Amino acid sequence: MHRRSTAFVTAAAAVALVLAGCSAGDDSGSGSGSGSGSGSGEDVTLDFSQWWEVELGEGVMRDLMDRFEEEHPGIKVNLISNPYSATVDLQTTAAATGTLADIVAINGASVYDLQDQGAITDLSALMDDAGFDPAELVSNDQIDGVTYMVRALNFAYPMYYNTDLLEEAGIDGLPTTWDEFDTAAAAVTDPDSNVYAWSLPINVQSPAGFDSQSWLWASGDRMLEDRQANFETPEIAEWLEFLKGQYDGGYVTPGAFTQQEQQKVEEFTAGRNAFMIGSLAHIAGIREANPDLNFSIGSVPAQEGESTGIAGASWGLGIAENSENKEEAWELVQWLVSEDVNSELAGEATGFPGNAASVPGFVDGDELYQKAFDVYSSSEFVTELEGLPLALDLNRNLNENLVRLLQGEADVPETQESLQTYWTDVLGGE
Amino acid sequence: MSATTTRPHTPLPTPERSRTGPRSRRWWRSGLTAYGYLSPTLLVMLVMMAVPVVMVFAYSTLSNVIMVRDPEFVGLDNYATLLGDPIFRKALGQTGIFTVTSVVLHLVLGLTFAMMLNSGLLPRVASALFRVVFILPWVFTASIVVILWQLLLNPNGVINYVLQTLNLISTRVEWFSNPALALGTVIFINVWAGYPFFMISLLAGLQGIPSDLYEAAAIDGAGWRHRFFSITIPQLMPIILAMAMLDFIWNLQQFPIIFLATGGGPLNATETVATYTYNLAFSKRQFSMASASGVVLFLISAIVALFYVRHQKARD
Repeated sequence: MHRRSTAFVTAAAAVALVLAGCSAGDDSGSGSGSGSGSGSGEDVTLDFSQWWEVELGEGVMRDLMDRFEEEHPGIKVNLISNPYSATVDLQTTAAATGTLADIVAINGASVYDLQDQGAITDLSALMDDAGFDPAELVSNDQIDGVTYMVRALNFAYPMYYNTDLLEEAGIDGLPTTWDEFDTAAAAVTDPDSNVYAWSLPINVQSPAGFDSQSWLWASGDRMLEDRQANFETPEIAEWLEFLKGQYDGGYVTPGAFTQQEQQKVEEFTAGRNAFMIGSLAHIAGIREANPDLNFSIGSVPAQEGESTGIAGASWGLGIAENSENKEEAWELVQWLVSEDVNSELAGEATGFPGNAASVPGFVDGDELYQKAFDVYSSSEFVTELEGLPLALDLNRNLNENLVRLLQGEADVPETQESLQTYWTDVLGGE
Repeated sequence: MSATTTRPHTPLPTPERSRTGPRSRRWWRSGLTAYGYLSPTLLVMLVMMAVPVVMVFAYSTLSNVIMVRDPEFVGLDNYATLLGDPIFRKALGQTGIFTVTSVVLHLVLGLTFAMMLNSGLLPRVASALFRVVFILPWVFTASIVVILWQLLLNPNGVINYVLQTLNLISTRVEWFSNPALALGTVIFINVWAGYPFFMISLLAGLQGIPSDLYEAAAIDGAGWRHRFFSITIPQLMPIILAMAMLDFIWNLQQFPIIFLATGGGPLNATETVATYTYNLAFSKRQFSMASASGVVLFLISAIVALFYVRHQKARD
């Protein structure tokens, strides 16, 4: 009898545990934040899912959140921090189960898919309710006339130049056109010394850079027209010919097909590459790792004439549709893009502010940052892939086609046709 | 024991008697008590294993999930699409090559090093040192293993430098970026990372073989080859079979090493079912197709697991 009672209690406890687990899941499913709102006198806790804390200096994000909490009594912020790719993967599944954090760090590559899932809310309405003027922002990206993401930071991708290698090769001044670049690339490349003109990481596992597209954008050309694939143009053909010419000429560091962003930076930092297209975040790292390296920053050369476009990426903010505390969540978003806080955040991340009135502190007194800011200010900020459905997959497809082209398994017209077909399939359903 | 041998000769109870008889009631009581104690484990298994597996099976029969709110039932269409995709078929073939080669090389390397450590030819300190050195690859996480070999195999890395210095190659080899070499390279890394598990298990097996078997064989004039094939291998066979089947299942599902090293590229040269499934889910957002691909991998693993369980039962 005693044994049976114990078994019954064990079974009951197990069932209770499972039910408790399910019940907890239900709670989180109905809204990721906790608390019953400021009206009830209880604190509201906002969950903020982002990769920023991982990439910024230690304690930077938490300090900012502590200051926000001080200035906004009754609102607490719980940071959920993961590396970028893990954040994006988690957001996709959380969006499907209605458990997205109140505030989500997103970017142009994920905003379309999240809004398509109905997972992020209409920020235009929240802006109106809060009396926020979108003109305060550098850009107000919309999908079908609705804002789903506010850009907190923009990251520009100018060209880095190793001035020592250029001088040694007898190149005076920075190349401004593809022809000049071609001449400079031939002059600096010396495989016996392990020196190549530049790196072209076109891997498929993390196709995040703009090393191939920047050349096209700098020349004022685009891959899309009215958000539809537009690859079968003479401009695209010339761009692909240029990339193939660089690869076949031996100016690109070997291993391009599986090379990753960090390896590209290491090649430049070690003085083995004369040129690199990269974000400003690398300046501090390069200076620290190789203080003797002399380098400068300028525009990516255009096909002819002046460079007009610069590749860009963003750190954006969205608010979950399932959040029970949207107003409080918007308060945090608005605070992060306010003039002073946004300047500070931009300084920490070495990016350009999303607030039009903010000026990043790092620009003052540093020649390289000033040059980068000048390039950024004088160029069109191109984010052609942002806000597209399956942006990551499109980028991966681009890299796959470039590998096929450079490997000699497809010629330029075949590459154009392949890109046009795939991208049309993805974008055609918009 | 006697009860079990006589039971078939006793008349079977009628259903009426089995429901109401004292023996049946005792069985129900003892059975319920046993299941009561087992219930926490059974519930955890249900929630953590059975439910996800059933859900993935169900997802694989829908048009898409997660990205759409009202998926349609499409039956086996996803499986037909999958099998019609040449990249999936390529991934399936490469998964087979990757898995079989890895298991065989894990076994060969693991057995070689285990026999070396067990030979008694090495002094005790040297033997301990080699044990540490040989087991090191197994201690590293997949990401460390990949970063380490990326540094070594980089076109500007140490391996190319050594090969060029020895005049074995004239130009730097792109171990990961050359489609003809990429699969071999990731198999090599996987073998390096996985052989210590075989080595440790086989070393334990070798230490359990009675030395008088070898002594008797030596007295009978058996050479090292005879001793190896007639004593060592037969004695280790149960361990080898069990390890090979487990390793087969693990390698079938190997993902981090391949994805971190090449992502399945270049030109799908290292695409396996695991990387293909990941790309379907997290790049193309085709979660139902990814579920179908996962189910295919599950079925292959289940068949091998079935052999493993039968083998273990036969041993017991």
